[in-house]
Amino acid sequence: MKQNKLREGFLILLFWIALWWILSIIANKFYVPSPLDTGKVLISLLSTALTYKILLSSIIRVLIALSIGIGLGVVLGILAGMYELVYKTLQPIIIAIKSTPVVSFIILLIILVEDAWVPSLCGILLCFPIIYYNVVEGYKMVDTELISMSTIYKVPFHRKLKKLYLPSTLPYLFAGVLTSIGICWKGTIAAEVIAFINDSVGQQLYDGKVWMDYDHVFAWTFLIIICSLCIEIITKRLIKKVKYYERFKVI
Amino acid sequence: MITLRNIHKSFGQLKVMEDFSIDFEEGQVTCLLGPSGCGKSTILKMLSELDGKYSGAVIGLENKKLSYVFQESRLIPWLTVEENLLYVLEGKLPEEILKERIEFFLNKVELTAFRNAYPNTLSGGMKQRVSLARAFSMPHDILLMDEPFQGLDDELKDQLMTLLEELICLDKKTVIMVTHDLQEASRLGDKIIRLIGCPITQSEEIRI
Repeated sequence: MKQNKLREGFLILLFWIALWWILSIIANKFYVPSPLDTGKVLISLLSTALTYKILLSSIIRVLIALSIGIGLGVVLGILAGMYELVYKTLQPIIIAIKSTPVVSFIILLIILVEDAWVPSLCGILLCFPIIYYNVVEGYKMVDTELISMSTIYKVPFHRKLKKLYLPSTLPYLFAGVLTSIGICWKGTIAAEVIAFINDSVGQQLYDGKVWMDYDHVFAWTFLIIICSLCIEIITKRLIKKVKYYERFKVI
Repeated sequence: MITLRNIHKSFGQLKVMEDFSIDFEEGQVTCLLGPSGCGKSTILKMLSELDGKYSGAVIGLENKKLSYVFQESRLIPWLTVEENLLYVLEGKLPEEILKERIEFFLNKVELTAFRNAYPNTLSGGMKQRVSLARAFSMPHDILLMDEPFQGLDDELKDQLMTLLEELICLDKKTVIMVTHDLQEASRLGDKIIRLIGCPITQSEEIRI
């Protein structure tokens, strides 16, 4: 069964690589490097210590953005779920954040804060509304019958929060976190490119574009995808370890 | 004495109670009888302060502790049977008494072996037994029961009624039970009250 799945996955991967190869032959190889050329650059990148340093710095920025975005989204989401006034007060700013193009954020942040903070702040602004909305949604989906049961039995708020609201909200939060990972990567790297952050993945992409070293751009893009996938897989594993979520899944 | 005095209650345009008054004697099991949808459960919601949108007065509930058996078991799905009981009881009793009390009532409802089971692994009757254990283990002066045998088959209903009789006898408290089943009411109630009118305007005691 597992072998079949692996074979299937391998064949799908092969199909897309073949398609990429054909595209690189049809188009100019200079603009669309072949998988082989990209692979060669990738191997040379992976044999350089600087690559890992660059990757690590970008990963740290993404993780900072995700952590703060999640923390902020959870706290404000719970408050907004609890108090209608908080929800209404936050609504304009959340809508503004959601509707503002990423580029506008980046440029505004470049004007307002130190360049080094721009990528992480951009990541926070991108993932915060997703987490916030998911938490609010999860909070509002708490079974009203369980809420009234808790009210009658005068269950203290901290216990209701811990044993009723948070576990009910967790599946929504986890879905939000998984969506945020990809978006946060995209935003952070875009900010690194526009804000010219030294020793960052964004800078590597930008340099590749300026020096018309498109093999380089493709190889770095490939590394970004791999890193994003790794973070997603680790997050999914961590989520599986959360007892409440496991229990919820069988219900 | 617990009294509902001159109650006016409506849901939007629909009037369910009009100048309705009723008394409940303490230390007795009072069964409220009436057809489905006439507003029986609303009376319990008013008594438990779950519904405060009415005019009139509820008297005699000051400083009284309430416990409630719902139509559905209302158990938290991700907590075990024991954790569901602890959820409502923690902080209301000293730790040693709390454990003993949970043990005692789980034993009474014959679910000691299922203390670590999750609600989704229990049958409907077992869930309702957990709900009874939760209601009785909660220190209370008044027990409100809203059609606790609704949707259960006759055999299970009979078993649960026997259990309920036993639990009520253990600790003679004020019980107000809503039902539409005269048999249930005559078996469990010291007093049976029929609600009259739609909207409810008055009530009468039924003597069997």
